[in-house]
Amino acid sequence: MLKKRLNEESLTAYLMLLPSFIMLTIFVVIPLILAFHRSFFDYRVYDEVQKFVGFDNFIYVLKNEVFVKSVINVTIFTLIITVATIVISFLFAHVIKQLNKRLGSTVRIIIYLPFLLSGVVVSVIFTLLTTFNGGLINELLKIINLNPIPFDNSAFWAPISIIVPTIWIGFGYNTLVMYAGLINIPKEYYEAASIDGANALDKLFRITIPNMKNYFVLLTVGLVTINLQMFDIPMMMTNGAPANKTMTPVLYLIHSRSNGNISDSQILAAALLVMVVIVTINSLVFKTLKSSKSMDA
Amino acid sequence: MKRSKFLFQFISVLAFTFVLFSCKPPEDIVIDEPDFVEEGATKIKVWTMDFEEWNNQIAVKQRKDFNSIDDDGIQVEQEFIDPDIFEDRIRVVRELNEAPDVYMVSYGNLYKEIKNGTVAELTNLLPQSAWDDLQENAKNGVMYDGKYYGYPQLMEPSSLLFYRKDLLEEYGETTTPPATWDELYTVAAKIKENAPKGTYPFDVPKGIALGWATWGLQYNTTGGFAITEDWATSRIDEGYEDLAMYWKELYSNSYVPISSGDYTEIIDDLCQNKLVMTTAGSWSIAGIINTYPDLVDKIGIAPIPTKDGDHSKPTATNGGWVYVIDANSSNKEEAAAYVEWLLAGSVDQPLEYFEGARFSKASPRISVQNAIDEMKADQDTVPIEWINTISDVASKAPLEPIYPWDISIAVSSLLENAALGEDVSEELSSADNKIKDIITNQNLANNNPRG
Repeated sequence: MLKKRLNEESLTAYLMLLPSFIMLTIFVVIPLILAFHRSFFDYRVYDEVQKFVGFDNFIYVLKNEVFVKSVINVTIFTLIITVATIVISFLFAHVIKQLNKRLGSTVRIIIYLPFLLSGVVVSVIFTLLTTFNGGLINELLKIINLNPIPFDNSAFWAPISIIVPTIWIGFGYNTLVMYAGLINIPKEYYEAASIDGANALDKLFRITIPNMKNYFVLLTVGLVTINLQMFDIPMMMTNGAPANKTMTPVLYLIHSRSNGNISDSQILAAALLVMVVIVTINSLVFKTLKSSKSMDA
Repeated sequence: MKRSKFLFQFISVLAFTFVLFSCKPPEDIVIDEPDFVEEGATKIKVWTMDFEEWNNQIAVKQRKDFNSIDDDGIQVEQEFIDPDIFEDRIRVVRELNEAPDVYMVSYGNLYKEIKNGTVAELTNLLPQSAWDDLQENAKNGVMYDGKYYGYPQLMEPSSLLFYRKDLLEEYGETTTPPATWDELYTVAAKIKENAPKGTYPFDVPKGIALGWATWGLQYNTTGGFAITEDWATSRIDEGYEDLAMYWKELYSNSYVPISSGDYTEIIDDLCQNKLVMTTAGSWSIAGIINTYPDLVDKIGIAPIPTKDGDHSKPTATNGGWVYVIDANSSNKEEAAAYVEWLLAGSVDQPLEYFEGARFSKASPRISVQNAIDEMKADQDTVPIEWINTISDVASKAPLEPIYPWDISIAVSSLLENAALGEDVSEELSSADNKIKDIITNQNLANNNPRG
């Protein structure tokens, strides 16, 4: 009887997994295998026989100074964005937790709204603020007789004009995840700690943070993965300027593809290298933060 | 390999459905009546770049004119393609074996297409007279190893000095545009002193345009491009130091805005009193006449200021578009017949185009250019001095180089870093090393196909 029920449950589980499995196979697994395959050839669309070039495409990309620079840029951006987002979201989630139910609910809706916008829309909003000639911030600066800021063409401001919108767009979602984590920590832990004479810092480091570890892992992995592939906000805000200081790998591939600087096979090799970087960094994140079941489980 | 090609085709079909929504005629075009349909005619697919309204209107009219010929056995199906998504679209349709028969590529990208085997050789598909009528520099842009692979539509100089006569006189206290960098510094200092905040003396290309719109200035200042003719050696020498110092001078004195809009639309800033002078491409003329007709009399055009003011040397490169026939087209002869009718036969069709372009471009054909020269005297829409300046600059301009874009990125990084105040000698050394690496890594030495 039990065995039969288990078989039925397994069948149901497999059936429910099937749509995802089919979609992932079509849109992820097959393209990935083909990408690997094609990246080892000098692919020419009309040639019947393709020339095998081994790792040449990967070596070409790794020797490309702009691509390497773009990987360094995006790693730095990702580090800053991830740390800043987690800290700000964590702190703001505490603020929301202290609010009364009605106000807390309103705040949660408001901060979530930017997450519903695409990177392009967010970039347009920030461009209206930061455009050198006519942007709101610069027009205000002119009124108080200050020089306008070249947000899209200054070594200092250009990275900021990418980092700030990126944090803003994900702030609401990340805060809500943090908030969900915070309210899941049993109040009894804090009450017991208070009885034992623990202060706020003790509670933070010995109760809150250990109980939030899995949330930190979830958000860190998500932020690292998304931001290492960032291109829409950089493309709209700075397009890689100045002097490739805000170039990201995906943006570089888009540029190279449109100006014919790099072949299809080299683009695939570069995309696979970006994937390797993402997998490596995420593995390090998992290893460092060591996600585990919560203390209650 | 064939199986993997099938799978790629399958994925391409899926991708194609996503980009399909972009297949539409330009919004500005009013399609009043359907084309004449010739029964039993061979259909050829033509992709036309979706450019300015006037450009698209002429393209539609010429398609209708061609289709109205009722005994040629050819029916053209035209589709307008946004240049920004051209590369994506063409890759997908090639995978599906559904590439258009005829499409447009830039002079700079033609060699890449030839190397990839995606475009057909046209030498024997068009009559010899069509090739004989091409100007020498246009021939060099479409001929590799003695074979022709495309027929050029136009040539346009990428950098000219556009200036506001009224503002130059009011703020710069002169009516003569600067010919040298020193003259530019002098007049820019005066403009800066007299002009209201928010009006800059001058502007130069920025961002990606910095890589290609300065080719002419590089040629003028250094006597060549960033690598030698044989692509074997970097040319980042003293000439490039002068250029980097010029860039530094412009930015450190705030003679140019640190940030500005897209180079192809930079003329708007000049017309909106945000600039007194600017570098811009010849295509800006059509923009001025169509959008700012009241300013036509107030705007002058001259060669860009150069180090020594010697404008007998090139001050721009010629860019432009070339019509090609896809290597997999099964209707190459019919496609060639259309290209010949549109570009390479009678002067009527090209003349119609150049008139619509307000003579902002030069013709690659000798006979058409002669006809333009005769026609320009009889019109009063475009100031004759504008047309003469463009013709003069275009006639001296070399074709845009076809070396890998990475080299242009190295030069634009050099200039951008100079503008940001970095040490010029260090940046020169860095650019030189980058270019040497590119030459080695991409095995460029002695491989210039035009060499």
